[in-house]
Amino acid sequence: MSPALDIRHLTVVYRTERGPLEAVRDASLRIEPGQTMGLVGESGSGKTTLALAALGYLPAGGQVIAGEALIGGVDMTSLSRAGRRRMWGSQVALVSQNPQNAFNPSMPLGRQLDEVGRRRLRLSRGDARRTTLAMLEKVAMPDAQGVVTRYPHQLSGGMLQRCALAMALMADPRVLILDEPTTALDVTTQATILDLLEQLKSEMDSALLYITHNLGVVAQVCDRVSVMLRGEIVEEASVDRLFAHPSHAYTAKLLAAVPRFDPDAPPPPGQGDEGASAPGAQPPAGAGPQPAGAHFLELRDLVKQFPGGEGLHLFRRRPQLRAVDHVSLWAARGTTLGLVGESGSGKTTLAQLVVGLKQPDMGEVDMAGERLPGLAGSRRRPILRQIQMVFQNPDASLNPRHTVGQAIGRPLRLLQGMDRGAAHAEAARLLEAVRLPTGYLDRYPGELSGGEIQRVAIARALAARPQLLVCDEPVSSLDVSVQGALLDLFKRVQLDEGLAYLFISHDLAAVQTLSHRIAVMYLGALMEYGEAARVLRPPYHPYTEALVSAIPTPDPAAVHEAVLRLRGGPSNPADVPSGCRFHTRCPRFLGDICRQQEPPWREGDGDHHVYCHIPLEELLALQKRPEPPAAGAPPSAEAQEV
Amino acid sequence: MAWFVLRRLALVVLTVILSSILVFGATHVLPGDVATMVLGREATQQARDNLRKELGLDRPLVVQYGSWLSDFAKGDWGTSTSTGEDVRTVTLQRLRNSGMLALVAFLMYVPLGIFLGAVAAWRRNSAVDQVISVVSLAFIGLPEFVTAVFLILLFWSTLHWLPPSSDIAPGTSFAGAFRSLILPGLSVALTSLAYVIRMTRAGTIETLDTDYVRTAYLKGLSTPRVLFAHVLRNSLLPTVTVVAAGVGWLMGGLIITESVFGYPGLGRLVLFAVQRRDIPLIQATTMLIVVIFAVANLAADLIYGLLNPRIRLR
Repeated sequence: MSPALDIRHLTVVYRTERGPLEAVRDASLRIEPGQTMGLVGESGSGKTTLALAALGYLPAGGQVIAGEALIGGVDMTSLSRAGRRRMWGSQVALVSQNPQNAFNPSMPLGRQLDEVGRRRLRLSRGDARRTTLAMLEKVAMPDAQGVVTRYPHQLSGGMLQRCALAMALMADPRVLILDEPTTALDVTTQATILDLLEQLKSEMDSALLYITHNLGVVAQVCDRVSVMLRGEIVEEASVDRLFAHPSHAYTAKLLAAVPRFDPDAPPPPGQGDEGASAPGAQPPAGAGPQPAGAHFLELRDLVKQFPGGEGLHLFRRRPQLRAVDHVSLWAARGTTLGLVGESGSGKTTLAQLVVGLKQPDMGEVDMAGERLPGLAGSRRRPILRQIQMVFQNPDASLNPRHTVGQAIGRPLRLLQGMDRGAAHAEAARLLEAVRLPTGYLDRYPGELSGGEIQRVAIARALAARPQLLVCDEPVSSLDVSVQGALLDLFKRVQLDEGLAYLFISHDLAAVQTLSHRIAVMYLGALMEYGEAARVLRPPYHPYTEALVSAIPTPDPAAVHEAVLRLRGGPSNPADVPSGCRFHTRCPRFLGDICRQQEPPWREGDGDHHVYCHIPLEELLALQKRPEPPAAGAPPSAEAQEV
Repeated sequence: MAWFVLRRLALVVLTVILSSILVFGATHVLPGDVATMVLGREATQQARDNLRKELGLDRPLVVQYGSWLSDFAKGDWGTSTSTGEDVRTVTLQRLRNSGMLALVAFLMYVPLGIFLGAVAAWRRNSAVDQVISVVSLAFIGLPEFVTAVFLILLFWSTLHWLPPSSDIAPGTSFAGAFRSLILPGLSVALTSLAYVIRMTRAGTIETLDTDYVRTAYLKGLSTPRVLFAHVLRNSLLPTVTVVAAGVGWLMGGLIITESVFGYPGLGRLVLFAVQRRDIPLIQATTMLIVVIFAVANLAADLIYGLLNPRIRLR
């Protein structure tokens, strides 16, 4: 059988101001029909350039100077624009990273999908629409009839990515290129899209090229994997071979960087020896329950509402969207409180309430025994200094016109009253603390990589000598390999500086490595919280269970275990379901009781709280994995301890 | 969408009311006493007081404002103090003329500007783009009266094609006035053309670089299909706002162009009213222009909402 995609010794060069830049060097890659090839590498390794060259859609300045890219035996690199256009859509299709940007914002989705049928397959209007609906069914799109009339901004990222898949597959292309199709999505959504891809693969004979920086994802959907480093393909092997015996050192490094979810991993240091890490007025906080009010950070019954709803509300009250709905949490000095949930769960709003960017409608934030005013503007200066924040998007969180030295020096001079010389010396020390060379002081953010900028952002936050660092998805936009290094850095900084973290992420694996306590949020409310070791192993709340099973496993053998998935997409925060707000998506939905009654808070060992109608013992029995040696173990909390 | 429209409408009403206070206030702090202006310096104090009473000028300012506004809303715009004509008749007559000129200019520069802007973006950094940019920038830089005089020299003095003066008689039909409208229209169009070109070019370049245009191409759509179905509708959003808001200026702000060509439009009437300190005429013309601007901006917002589902369906 001839390969569907055959890239032979391809070299791609970009013309830049500093001369030609080789983005892809002598790369070869073959995919047979029906096969899936993973193309893995860090950002800047040339994965996307290779794909665009195969598509014949290189950006201006890009040029193939050697080699060829054959799709069904036709060399894309030597075709005219008109020739390539005949290939696009029918022979080769692309699904790109950010579904929200991949659709025309001012055209209903149905019409955008119909275009393939109308213009490529020359179907009549009615036939095109029927094909569209059939494809949407195929990608398991709920309410396909409704979706075709909607605009892109009215759909969630996961739903849009389903549309993108349906559109790409409409003309049954020989080759489908997926460029980081799940990187911009929540872990839970990523899991459902990967499930879908796996299923589609078995139904069609298109060849798939799956580009990603995350090896964990590759294990689930790919047959073979190519690893790319600085423009070259350094290793190519079957998935099983690659994961079992990586032959290139770089592959091994990428494998090691994949965050692994392991509830038995040792807890992060710092817990329980609070007196040593941060000598202060606080009494040492033990692992056991504490009297209320004694914790370093205490959030009590926080509520934040936003006006929501559509249309005119002349006579009725405008419905209120509760982004944060009666949330109480605490964290001990020098420890990490991990906050997990999908987008729209209210994590970021909660962080903004703690930092004082938003005024709570109800409830209090206490720190070190002091009640904090709602807004940062009315907080005392020492308090402002003590709470600092690290944001998700490193590119946007530093002023591009300030050098690293200026960015770090500013809080030193402003909040600590240092003079220029002292600030410079301290900034250098802080750079060392985040493991960056002091020579970076004179660089601008534009000259640094995403991971390096995030290190600078951490140094800038540390400059104020805070006691609490609020981190809102600080590693989510970074490559997996960079994520690991940053999480290590967070861990070390916590030990060195005795900091408490409020660490927010949609990725349980990332939260796990740092957290002493974990809280799980859904639609503004807590579902489960407690000590990390308790939250991360059964009995879980069903939502936590789904989050855990959504983590991609970097192990091809483990992939095909029974997995638990959430039903449907995230609910609308303006329309919180009755009873248990999670019942519409709960994989362990019981029936009317979930629909009608709010569940009780069930208490387990170690300050463990689960908001569910199902008793903990039953949850444990449902969730206990059949481990070979202890297959017959009784489903009790004690058994789990051993 | 209903909410969106109502909110915009409320803003229009508020704008007009605030402007009416400004207009009324401004015309009352103008130096000079109305009674003295009407009766002359030799009039007795008694006669002036009587006239003030007759005109209601002895009442508190707020009461005067209220009755002025209600008269205005009812269509009683007063009598011109300089010509004795009915202000409403004259103003509406001029409004019609301004509308004709605006229409001619609009039809000249909007389609052409969008076309040239899209071409410049499509052939970005090419010679075509450079020429379009330089020429259109030159017309932005040239003052309106220079362009106007240049057009008169070319089309009247040299070619003898079109009349130099556009002083049409009141009530001339559009067809009858058409020849007189070409030169002033062209002069206005040349100045505005560059703005439309530059807005369209910037918007189109931005849109051409988006992921969804790449998606459209990679679906295998033809270039014209991509341009018309996916690029233009999104890239014209900022242009639409600028163009629609510019209608207000076309209707009431062409004082210089109208003066050079002697065209009896609203702009020249404002100038005339101010020179003569003709208070009722100043009030009527400025209020009319305020309303035109407010409505033009409302139209811009509504068109924007229609083109942009993210606003319409919020």
